Amino acid sequence: MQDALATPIPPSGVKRRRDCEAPNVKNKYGTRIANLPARTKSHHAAENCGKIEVHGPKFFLPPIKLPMRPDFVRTLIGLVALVSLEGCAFEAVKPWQRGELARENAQLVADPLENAADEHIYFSKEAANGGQGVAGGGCGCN
Amino acid sequence: MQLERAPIRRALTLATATLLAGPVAGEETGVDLQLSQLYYAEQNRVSVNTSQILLGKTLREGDAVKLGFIYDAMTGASPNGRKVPLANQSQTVPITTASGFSFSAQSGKSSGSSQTWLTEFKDNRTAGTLDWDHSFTRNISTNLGVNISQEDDYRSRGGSAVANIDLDEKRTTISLGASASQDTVDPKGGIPNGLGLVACATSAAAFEPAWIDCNATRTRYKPGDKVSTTVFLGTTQVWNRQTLAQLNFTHSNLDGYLTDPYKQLSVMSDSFDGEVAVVYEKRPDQRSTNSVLLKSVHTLGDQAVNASYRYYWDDWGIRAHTADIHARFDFGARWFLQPHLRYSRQGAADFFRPELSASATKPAYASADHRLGSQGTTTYGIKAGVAFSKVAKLALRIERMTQDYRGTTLPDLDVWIVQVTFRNEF
Repeated sequence: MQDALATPIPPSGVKRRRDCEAPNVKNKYGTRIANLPARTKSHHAAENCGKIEVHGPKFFLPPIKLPMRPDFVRTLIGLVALVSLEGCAFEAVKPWQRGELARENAQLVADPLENAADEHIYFSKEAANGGQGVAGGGCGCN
Repeated sequence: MQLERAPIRRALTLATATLLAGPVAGEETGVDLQLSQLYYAEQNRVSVNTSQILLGKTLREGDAVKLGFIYDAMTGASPNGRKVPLANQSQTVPITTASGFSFSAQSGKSSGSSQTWLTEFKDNRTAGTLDWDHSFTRNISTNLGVNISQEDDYRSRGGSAVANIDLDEKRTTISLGASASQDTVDPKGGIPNGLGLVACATSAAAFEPAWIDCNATRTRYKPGDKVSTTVFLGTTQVWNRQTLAQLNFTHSNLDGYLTDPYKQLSVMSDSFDGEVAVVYEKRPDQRSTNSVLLKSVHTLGDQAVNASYRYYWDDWGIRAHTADIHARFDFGARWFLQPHLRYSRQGAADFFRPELSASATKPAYASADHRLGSQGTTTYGIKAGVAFSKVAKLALRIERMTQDYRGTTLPDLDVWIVQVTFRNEF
């Protein structure tokens, strides 16, 4: 509990989580591995280990009124998460290593006329449409 | 009407022939020609024959143009929003669409009086697109496009601009785009009054809601105009040697006459057998739509799988989920087979009403168009292709599409789609 000493004494009502005592964990060579968070209760317990929980008087942030619909916010969060994932998960493929992705069958839109026909069919039969770009061309579809 | 259309077809053929003949002679870079013929047939409803031509040409390093033509011939009957009568229910309202309202919406002509919920129509659509791709540097390119579409009672004019920026040795591409279009719907005689009267049942006078005046003059107005603007933000990412992924966000605003002038609603009463009256539908004059599309291509040896998911939402209260997957199996360099599966489900718009109640007050907006209702669409099919040379390719696809509707009595839809595409370079 070294870091507990470094932490200022919490005010009343603020407790440090008790479920993160480092157990006597040993590796296969019998050496004790220090400062390992316990996984006794759950992954959450381990993740929250050392975090301060606030009890008693609660502090509220003033309610923030977003001018956006909750759906929009959720989507935005999802998008940000996906884009940030892109940044760290892909392989640094060199241009000359993209032979497979350059094949005709590996194109995002392999057949433009088939794609155009489908876009038009679903545009005239469903409420939802688009998503693939800004190509237009309305119809008074029956 | 067919006679009226013929000059356009001739003009198209002529223009195509001219274009084909022009750049081919003496040019180093060839013309990429794509042809398609599509037959779309709904069981007992609409059938459409679509011809498409797409011509592409690289003018010089970094500049390419694409010219496209589309000709649609549509015929058949489509649901008009009126309630599909139960087997034991009589339809007392005669089809009295104001005479001359639209020659492309002649109600109940050959579908018989028992199918008042269908409207017969016949229409042709001619559309053209012109695109110009230009590369400013190795990593920045743009696409500018214009498109027009013309039907007997509808026309659309639009333009679009997209910029693509390649980053990180072209592993990432950011696309930014915007487009705008101006559409006019012009049924013969003008657009009807929203929630205005189509017809009243003569024997149902006692049940008519107060807001319907069966003696009202059926006023028609000038054509309806609408303006659509779209912004688009997309990113394409090479994940590894086998995987490419795309994430797009699209936002559109539509403003103007967004109602379908041919769609109607039945006004029903518990105490009356059949329709008390029939009125035209009415939609809000603004709509804001959004969609997020996640698409990926993954290669597995010589094969490739293309999968996508789209979430759509708009301020009319519609939410839709669409998933699409097709896998292409290549057999050598010549043949391929490509099974396809698509599923889409949407929720209803806030103002979707399968019928109106005679005892209720007049709604602000109401539509019984199934396309704004809760529905599911399933498509499955297969495409087979053969390559005659490196550039000459022929493909045939056969698909079956079914649509099921919730919250209405509309029978399910069953469609066959057959498309033949041919591509060659000259």
